[in-house]
Amino acid sequence: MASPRNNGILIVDDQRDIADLVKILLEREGYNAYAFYDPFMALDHFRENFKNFALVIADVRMPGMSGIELVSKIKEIEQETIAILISAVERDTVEKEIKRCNVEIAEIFQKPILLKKLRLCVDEHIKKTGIEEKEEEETKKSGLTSINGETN
Amino acid sequence: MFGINSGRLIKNIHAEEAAVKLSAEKYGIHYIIIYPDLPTLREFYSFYIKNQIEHNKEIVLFSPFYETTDNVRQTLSGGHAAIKVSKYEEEKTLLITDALNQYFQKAEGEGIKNDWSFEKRMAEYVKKQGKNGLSVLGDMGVFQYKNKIKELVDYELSLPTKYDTDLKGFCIYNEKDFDRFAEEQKRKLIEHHGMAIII
Repeated sequence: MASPRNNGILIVDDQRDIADLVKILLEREGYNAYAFYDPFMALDHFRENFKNFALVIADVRMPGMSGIELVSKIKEIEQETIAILISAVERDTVEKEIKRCNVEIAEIFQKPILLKKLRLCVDEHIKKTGIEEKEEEETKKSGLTSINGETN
Repeated sequence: MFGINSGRLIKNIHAEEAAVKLSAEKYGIHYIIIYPDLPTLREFYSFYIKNQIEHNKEIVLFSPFYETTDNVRQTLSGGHAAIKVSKYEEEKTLLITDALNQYFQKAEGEGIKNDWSFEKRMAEYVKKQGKNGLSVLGDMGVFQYKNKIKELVDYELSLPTKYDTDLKGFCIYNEKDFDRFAEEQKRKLIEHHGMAIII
């Protein structure tokens, strides 16, 4: 059986303030969020730690590698990774490019991002994967073991 | 990028200094400008655009890619430039358009607008408006975004090394985009342009 993935979230935006803000928001909600400002570094990190990530949030227009290209490369490593794109340009322009690249994107958010909406979207997609439930079960199990251990 | 050794490559020039130098250059130049990050690019275009519009009586066409046209307007309204953006846009002295719209057709297939007749016509229009010339600055990152690297090189090489109109052309690259070219492509591009400047 494949080992369950963690609920880690990879955030990639060359606009540092946005990447940091989203990271803080998601950490407050209990997620393991990792912010990168460079898509190449983010991809290297993902390649080595892909089992820890369930979801990626990427800006569309980044120098060197677009968010769409990054997601495409991430999905070559782990097809099941959920992808959310954020963009400052019109949605239809981004949709055209997604179609051309034939990449599966769960959601597109337009900047300025409504943080509450983004958080709800992340919650919803993470729930769909069942990762949270699995983790809760594992925590409960480990909690029981610990109590048993103490009483024994 | 830094492995290329050419007399046409100027390294580590400050953004403001580059803007002043290019502002003083004669018409006809077609140069590459390589920038490390958005703050540096903003500093460069703020000084350059202000100088060209307010002191050199030019028309400027700027096509950004890694920031929105509204962000550019905000940058030009404050900071280093502090120019009257809406006034200049109304007068058509300042034209700001997203690089995607400037270099790619909107129609199905989204081909590259691969001739520079628009710039030629613009240069003629500029004269009729009683202006001294036209500066065109475009972020070429849009070609990488569309995965059109070979087409970008072909497009660049199809443009003249020196324009025969009152036009200054600047092909702007983020250094990460420029680094995606093969060494041979970089060499060709630098040699084809009059100068490549790293700010």
